[in-house]
Order: sequence, then structure tokens, then C-alpha cells
Amino acid sequence: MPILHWQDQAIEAQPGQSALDALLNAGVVIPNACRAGACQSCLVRARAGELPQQAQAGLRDDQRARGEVLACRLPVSEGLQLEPAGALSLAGELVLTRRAHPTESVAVLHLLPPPGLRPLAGQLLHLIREDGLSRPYSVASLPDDNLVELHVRQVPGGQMSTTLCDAAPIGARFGVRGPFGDCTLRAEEQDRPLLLVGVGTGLAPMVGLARDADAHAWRAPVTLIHAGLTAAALYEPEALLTLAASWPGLDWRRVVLQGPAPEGVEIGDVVEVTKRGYAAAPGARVYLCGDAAVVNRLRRALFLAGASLSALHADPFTPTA
Amino acid sequence: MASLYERLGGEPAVNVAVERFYRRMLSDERVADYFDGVDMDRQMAKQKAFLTMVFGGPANYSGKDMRAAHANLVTRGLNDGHVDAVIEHLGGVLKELGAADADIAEVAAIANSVRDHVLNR
Repeated sequence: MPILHWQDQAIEAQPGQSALDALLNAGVVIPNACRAGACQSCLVRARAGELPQQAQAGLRDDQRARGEVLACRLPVSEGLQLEPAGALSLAGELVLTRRAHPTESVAVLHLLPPPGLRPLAGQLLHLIREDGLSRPYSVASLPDDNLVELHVRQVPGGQMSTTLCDAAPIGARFGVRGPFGDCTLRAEEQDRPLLLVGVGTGLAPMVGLARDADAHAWRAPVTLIHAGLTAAALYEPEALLTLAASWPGLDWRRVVLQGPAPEGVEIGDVVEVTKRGYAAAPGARVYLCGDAAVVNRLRRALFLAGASLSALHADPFTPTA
Repeated sequence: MASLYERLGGEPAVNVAVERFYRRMLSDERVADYFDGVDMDRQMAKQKAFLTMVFGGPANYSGKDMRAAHANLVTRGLNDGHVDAVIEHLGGVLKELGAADADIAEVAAIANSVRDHVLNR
């Protein structure tokens, strides 16, 4: 009888049985529907074990790299260790080394990563405060920077944002989990236009992606749209100013829904501005980050404009209590 | 004879079909409102399972699943007209992908066979 490990539990399985059936028989609650690898309801993560290709068919590259797998298509084999797909592993500690305030409500943080943690521009890191409070942030820096840049908006009464924007001294340490997510550059696609749309501090991953594109001598046009409700939500991080100064071809636009707008800032709906941007660069790979309501509207509008969901990367900010 | 699923090109073809199908549904004012506030990724995964089934692919999507999945929509007024729209868009997508008329008719028949489950009758 092959033995399957689910977290810390050892489960006896029938030879040839799927991991899903073995887990369900043992009373583990695993959502499932089609049992044919199509609906992806039964997604789990393998810590160890053999993963046949069919059990990862249809998953994104970052999911495969994390060991995520469809339990219904995974035959039980010796040494298989599974856990819930969302389980995170602790990566070490980040040390706060610098904090700049491009505007009153936004902090640009530089943190020293622990050895071995080299997140890609656009990935997510979960920062963990001493008391266990945890929040995800998008990475604005490149692995070779040897520092991690994060942008944080100070939310009135926000616990983590107050710590990061104000209370934590230089030298403060934070736990970190990650990196996660596939909002990263496809370096081999230098001839494919990029459309980078950041709402508020959703600008952070877009700065990183634009810098990454520049570092790869991108040949196709790159458009970066920074949007906010009012001009108060916009800011100009140093790294972006430096990049724009050395790369005149970077199409950096700023748009606010409500005026007044400073010079160089357009008043309009970011969804309309982005749709025009996509019409000018059809087939572009698109990255969206920021407030969830706006990001979801953007995603739907671009999908309807012909963008494939496989070329639409979205990191919506979900509000936390 | 190979199933339509295989003849269309298997999973990669279904991935193309499901995007086109979903785009048509979201653009059709008869049915678009039912997708408001729905998570696009989850919806696409379900539609992929559905298309895999109607194309004769390796899926065990059952009438029971269809019934449970649409129960909430029936209370919001889902009716035969909406199922007709789905079948119409399925046919449109298949035509774009180069399926024969006989295959399109067969798919429509399979989709029709779950009509009563979808409408909870």
C-alpha cells in the first residue's frame, strides 16, 4: 500500500488511486468538481514526490515552479507529500535600510534581503511584523540591486502601513514570505509591447518591470500608465525618474479621475486611457496592479478588447481589516 | 472515430475556445449581467470544464454539478432564452475554429441535454 503524506498526516492509499480520491477517503476536505484536470478546483502543492506532466497541465509556469499540482490527475506514488496550495514557507528576515517620502502619504522603502532571497520585479513578498501581522507588497527592484524596494501608502489607521511609513526605525527587521506571483517580465519577448498600469502604489511593480525591460534592451514599445483618483495619489519614485531620464522611448503617462491635474497629467478614466493604449499596441503583454475594483474593471475591459487572459497579469490589492 | 475534442486539437484548442466563448458571453447584453462580480479565473475554469464535456473530452462534469452551479441564477431569472444564447455562442466559436456543421449540431445537442439541469427543472 503506498503511503501519502498530507501535511503531517500519513494516509494509506490504494495502488493506482488518485491523490484526490485517497485524500477524500481519508476525510480530508479538498474542493473538487470535474475530476479531469480541467476545473482546477483540487489544486494542492507537492513538497516532495513525482509529478507527472498530466497532473500539472494547464497550470501557469509559476504554479508549476512552486510544485502546485491537480490532485485528481496525480496518481499516488511512494514519497508523495502534499499540502494546501496556499501554504507559505518562511524565507527569513528583511532589514529596513532606507525610507523616502516622495509624497506625504507614500513611503518608498529599501530593505536588505536575507541571503538567497532574490525576488523578481513584480513579484509579491509578505512582510511580517513582530506580532505576526502580515501584508503583501509588490517588488519594485531588480534582483541585482541587492536590495528590495517596496512602495507603501499610509492608510489612516492602517496597522502595517503606519509601522512601515512612520513608526519603524531604520534597522527594523521584518519576517518575510515569498516571493510569489507571475507578474514578472517574460525576458524572451523583447519584441512584444508592454502595457504597465499601476493605480496608486500599484506603481511599484510597474517601475520594476520597466527597469527590467530596459535592462533587457527591450525592442518593442513600453507604456507605463500611473493612475490615481486625484493628483494626491500620484508620486514620482527616484528609480522611475532615473529610468525616464536615460530612456526617452519610455512612454510614461499619468492620469487622474478628478482634477485639478498638474502639468503633464491627464484627467480621465484609467480604463479608457488603458484601452487606447492597448489599441495602439495590440497583443501587448499587460500588467495591472492597484485597487481591486479598478484592476478588475481594467482586466475585463482589456479581455473584451481582445487580450488573452494568459497575457493579462493582475495583482489586485484586496482590502484588509 | 476521434472525438470532436481530439479533432479540434485537445486542451490547447479548448483554451482558445473558452476565451472566445467567454468574450462573446460578456459582450452579449442578454447574458452579460449574470457575470457581474464573478471571478474571471474561476468562471473560465468552469467554462473550460463545460466545453471539455460538450466537445466529448475527458471530463466528468455531471448534471448535478450544472444544477448546483446555476441554482442561484435561476432565482435571478435564468431561462430558456439564456441557454439559447449560450448554444448560439458555442456554435459561433466552433465555426471560427473550423468545426463542421455536423459537429456543431452535435455539440448543441449535448448542451441541450443539460438544459433542464441548468434551469433546475
